[in-house]
Amino acid sequence: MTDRGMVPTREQAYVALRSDVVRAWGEARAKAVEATLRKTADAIWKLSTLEFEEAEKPGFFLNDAARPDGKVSE
Amino acid sequence: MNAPWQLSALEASRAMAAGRLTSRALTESLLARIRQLDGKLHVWETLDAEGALRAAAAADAAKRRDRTGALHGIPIGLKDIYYTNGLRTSMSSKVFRDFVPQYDAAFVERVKAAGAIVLGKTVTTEFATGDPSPTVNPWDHSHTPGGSSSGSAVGVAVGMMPIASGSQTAGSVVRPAAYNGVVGLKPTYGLVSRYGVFPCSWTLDTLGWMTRTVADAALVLDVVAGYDQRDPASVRAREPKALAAIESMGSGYSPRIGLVAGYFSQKSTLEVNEHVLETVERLKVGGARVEPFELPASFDGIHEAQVAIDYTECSLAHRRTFGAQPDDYAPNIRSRVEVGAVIPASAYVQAQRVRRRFRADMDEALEGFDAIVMPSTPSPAGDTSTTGDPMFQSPWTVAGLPELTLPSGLSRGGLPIGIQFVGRGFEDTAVLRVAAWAEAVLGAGPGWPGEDAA
Repeated sequence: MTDRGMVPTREQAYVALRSDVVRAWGEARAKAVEATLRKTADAIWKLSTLEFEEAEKPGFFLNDAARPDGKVSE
Repeated sequence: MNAPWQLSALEASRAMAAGRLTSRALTESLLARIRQLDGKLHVWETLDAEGALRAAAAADAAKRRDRTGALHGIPIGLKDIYYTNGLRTSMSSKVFRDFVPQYDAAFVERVKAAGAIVLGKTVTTEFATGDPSPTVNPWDHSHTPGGSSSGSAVGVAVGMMPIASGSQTAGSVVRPAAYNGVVGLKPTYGLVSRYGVFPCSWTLDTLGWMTRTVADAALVLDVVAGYDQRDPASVRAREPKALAAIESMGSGYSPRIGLVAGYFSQKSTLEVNEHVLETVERLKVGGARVEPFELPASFDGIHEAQVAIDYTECSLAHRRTFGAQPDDYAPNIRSRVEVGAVIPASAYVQAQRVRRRFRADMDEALEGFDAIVMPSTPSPAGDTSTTGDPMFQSPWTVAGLPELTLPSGLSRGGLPIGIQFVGRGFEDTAVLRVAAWAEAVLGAGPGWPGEDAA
């Protein structure tokens, strides 16, 4: 076997490097998606278990709810 | 005398008023500090040294009668999600790497009008979310500086500037401030305009800032609080007049403080629990009336509400840019945008109900207390694989209540530990008074990070 057979060509080295980078990227992405999905699924489940009075407002207006008289001036 | 870079904003301002310091000398001192340390710490996304020196010279040239702004001649850093007219604002992202806004954020307008000098833009985690930034914790390089306002917290901790802005959607002001041993204030939601700040989540995002003293945090609040019709969440509230409230605090002041146990002690390490109890004992000896504080039942579900709201709104905020350049997004923010798009509307609405109920219950439970106290973070800064868990800050972001972390000591491993104070909505001044009082009782903070680390 010649030296040429042992040493990867520049193209082969580039492909190996790229595939390592792509593999690492894929692993990081899969890990992030899995963690985010788990956290979100847990949140959706937990929120679905909480009870509210039917007539209660949806709650979009945080500061409207929190503005007691005397705390607001025009 | 301290070197100019070591001065708080208030100390520097008073030295300038007395003719003992110029803005140019202060700015040059801070720039020298930046040149010395930024190669290691990676605090700055964009530094505008030339612009800052020009502005400092103009501040020095201003006639005495024109020096009316509370921040006259004081250099500050801005998190790189705050729009700055003519100065690159990248959100530390590839997507906006060349973006130069044509206007200033409302916060920037206000601090400039008060005489502040913009040194530049500090590193944030990408789009102010969870992918760790290149910024380094100066207390120990193998630990996270926290996020998302990582550059701002580290820069203030090592004396690159006395004030730096941040923003909080879960825990992005208070957590990095605590991890780096500085003061971090997240005011009441609606008190400070977010106009011109790139959004993560419209109903959660709250601007905040880091300083080395509580008085400096109050100084900034007085400058930036106020109604702004350009931010739909902005509220017409009373002026805080926080600095005056702190400075007029008599020796007879004895705050009533609620000590929060339950969740916050269960989730803390033994070392943090012991530290908080020892610190509270010192506050008692100093004259505080400390009573147990029980969290309302509606605390249950508050973290989940944060996740559902944050991810849903984040997904929409990024819809257009993510659709065009998905591969330019880092893994954490990318997964958040993708998963957030499929959260059911019922979960989102339920989350908003949870936060409304918790806010109302907290405002009632806090009646009669100046503030409640608990650890700022469950442990000192962890390793660099994440920016840390926001579990101790996010309930207060969700509820929109004012929250301040005060550095209170160092762990056995030499990392900063903080205690946080939380108060009623729009009672930010009361929280700042308690914190300023506690700062005086506890004495000097953790000091400067070691020469080797810094």
